[in-house]
Amino acid sequence: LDDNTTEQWILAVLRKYEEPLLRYATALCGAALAPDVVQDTLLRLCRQREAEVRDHVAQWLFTVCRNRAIELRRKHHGEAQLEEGIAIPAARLPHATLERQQLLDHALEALQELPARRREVVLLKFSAELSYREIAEVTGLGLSNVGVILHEALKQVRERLREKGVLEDGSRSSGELPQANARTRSAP
Amino acid sequence: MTREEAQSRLEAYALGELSTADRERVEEWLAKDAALAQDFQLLSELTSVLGEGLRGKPEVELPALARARIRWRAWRPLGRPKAVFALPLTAALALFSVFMGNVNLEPHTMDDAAEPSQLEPPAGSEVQAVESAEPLRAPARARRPPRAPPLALPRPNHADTDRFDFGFSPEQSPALRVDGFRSAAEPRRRPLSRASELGRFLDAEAEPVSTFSIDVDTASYARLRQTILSGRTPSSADARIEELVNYFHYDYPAPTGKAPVSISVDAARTPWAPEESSLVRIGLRARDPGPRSTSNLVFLIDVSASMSPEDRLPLLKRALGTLTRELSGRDWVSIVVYAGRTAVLLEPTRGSNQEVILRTLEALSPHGSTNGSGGLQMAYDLARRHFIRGGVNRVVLATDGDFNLGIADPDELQQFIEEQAQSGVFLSVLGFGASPSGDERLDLLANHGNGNYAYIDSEQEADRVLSQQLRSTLQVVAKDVKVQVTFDPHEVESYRLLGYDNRRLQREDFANDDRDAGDLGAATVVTALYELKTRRDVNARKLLSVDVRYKLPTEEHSRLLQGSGPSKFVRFDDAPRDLRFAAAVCAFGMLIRRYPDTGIANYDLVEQWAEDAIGGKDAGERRQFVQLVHALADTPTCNPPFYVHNGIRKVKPECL
Repeated sequence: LDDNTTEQWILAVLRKYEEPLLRYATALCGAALAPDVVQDTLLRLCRQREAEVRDHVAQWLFTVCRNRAIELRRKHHGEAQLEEGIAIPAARLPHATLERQQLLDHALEALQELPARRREVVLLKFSAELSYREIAEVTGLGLSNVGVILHEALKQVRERLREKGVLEDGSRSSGELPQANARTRSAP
Repeated sequence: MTREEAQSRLEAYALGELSTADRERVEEWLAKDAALAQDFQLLSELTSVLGEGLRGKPEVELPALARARIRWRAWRPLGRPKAVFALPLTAALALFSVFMGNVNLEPHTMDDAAEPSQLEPPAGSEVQAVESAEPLRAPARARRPPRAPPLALPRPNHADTDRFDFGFSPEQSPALRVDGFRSAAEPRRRPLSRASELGRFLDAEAEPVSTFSIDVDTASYARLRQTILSGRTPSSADARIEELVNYFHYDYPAPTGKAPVSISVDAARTPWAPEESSLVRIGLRARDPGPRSTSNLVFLIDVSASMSPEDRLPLLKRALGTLTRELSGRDWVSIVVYAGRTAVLLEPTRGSNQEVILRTLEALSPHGSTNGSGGLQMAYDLARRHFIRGGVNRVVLATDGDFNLGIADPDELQQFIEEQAQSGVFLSVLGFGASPSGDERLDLLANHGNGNYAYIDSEQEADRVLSQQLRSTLQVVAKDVKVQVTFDPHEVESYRLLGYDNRRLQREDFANDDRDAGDLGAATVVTALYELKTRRDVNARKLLSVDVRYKLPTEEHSRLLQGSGPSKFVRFDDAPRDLRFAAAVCAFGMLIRRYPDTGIANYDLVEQWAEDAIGGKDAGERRQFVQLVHALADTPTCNPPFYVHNGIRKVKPECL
């Protein structure tokens, strides 16, 4: 019976994290290796005791995924340095206005100029939706460091956008403050 | 909080990472500082667009094979046998190529082999070596063994399938709650025949009508062959006469009219009692509707520990591999495994994704107990969910029969199976390994589940059933086929049906469309032999009439087809080759099954009759039969050492 619930749990984890893990692995080591990385991560999860992993499963998954991705990339491409190769994927917003799509394109372009470490933190935040604490555990950065890095990264992106004239101060004052992302989460 | 501090916390605020106190302080600043508020608005827009943009569909999907592996693993998470050897990628590829080539393959467990034996939860950013399971595709730089075939990349499965609910547990279905099927299956239960009636002549005046369900299975012959070739003496339960006879092909004329079935009747003197009785052969031949329809197959595979021997799971994998190689992109395959519990390993996957299916099969290894499971239910549910209208929808159960379906009572099991069959999903049972108790159970399942049952004892047999005769195995052209023979008591004194011992029906069952019966696959032929004692030299045409009832695969009302009696009697030696061969096989079965009144029949004569009738489409198999009889004839014991003639038991001269 224990096995049965563990099975359900693993399948639920698979459903929930399959796509975020694939995105993260793709950014770390490319689309060709990503399915292997995610497969290995989940197979490894199957060997864990549920009770030991259950309350920090996201952190566990992304840590294993990260290690595996770096390892495979090193094996196949000979690049050990994370700096050289974390790719922010191009993205389409299917239902967005042209303006919004342009904003995204420029933002991604600006992200590409960030150091790899910062790019990764941004990805873990926005693509994998990890909390600051989880990001800190996965990347080995200090918790406050994560906050600083995100702050610096987004600031830098905003600055680049302003330089390009995408975000002209005062040009988008119409409308209310978008609050969608100001979700309440347990504070660190 | 200073303005500086508030500004540095804007991101954390926008992302919901601030404590309540900090949040309030940032909000205070936003309320009073317009520049900060504007910056925050830009930031919010940025985070919103990034969130949406970076959470899109990933560039790649997890291939079906990876998903199958994860499910397999999730299904048996801990307490598995530990890996004893590691299998490097190149070796895995080589083994896989061997598997593709259908060469004998030692059992191995790829998935177990490549697992690290010890895993600690990873810590920090330290790069930790994680041994990989077999990669999904050959990496560009990996060296391939020189003769391995090029591996096509497993394409992601584009089947537009729902996420399956894996939450099925036997508790949810009251019908499945009881377990202990194995013990409850005893004492053995053979519907509609009592041992005392077995092979007795029936008085044509008292019972002029004989009714039975067709049986197209061939499992009994393959099992018997295995028993004899392994040097054991077959027991009477080993032979279902009709399954022996129907193992071979007989050339009946194909149906020409609208009906999907033709009836042929001929007669000759009985070889074992030429002075006393005659043999009447009734042959049905099903239409060949041309190319196989689109198939929706669910492999339900027993992976319990009892499946370990070479002739079970390893052979099973090769057999289903043979079947898989026959499939095309129009077909769909799903894989469900069961032992202690049940799991869907592979969601419906196109038949053209052969590599995914084959490698999923290859990764299976025997495991654990055979406690209750809802495997059948799950497989039927899956088949129904992906039902192909007008196509072949079939659960292919592969097992040694030493399994527990979770239904104790044979009647209950029968009812369950019949209910499932009504949904239009048919059943094919593939038996593996010589487990005498399993045989009867599997036969019962196939009988009541709109099914057929084949016993796979070798790769040749797998090839025969799952490749050469795949269409007749899969594609039903007439279902619930019943035969009713009416004898004219003025001409016939007594008669007996040879075989079909557990397929006999009551007279009124014939027209009762709720009464389940056997199905005819594409181009299948099926044969029944009656032995009858006539009153005098009679007009053969008046002896009997044959009626056949069948349903078209999609219909629920039966149709009637009528055939006439044989046109003439001939001496046995003048009979058609096929009739002589069928008689020989029948006599062989009667001897093993200890039928009474087998006249002068013994294994030497059977061998001779059969040898004289070698030829036709399946000459090779007939020749093999002769060798089989020879092997038994050579055994020192006379089996049985007597024969019964007119109710008197006589010792055979050679056994004196």
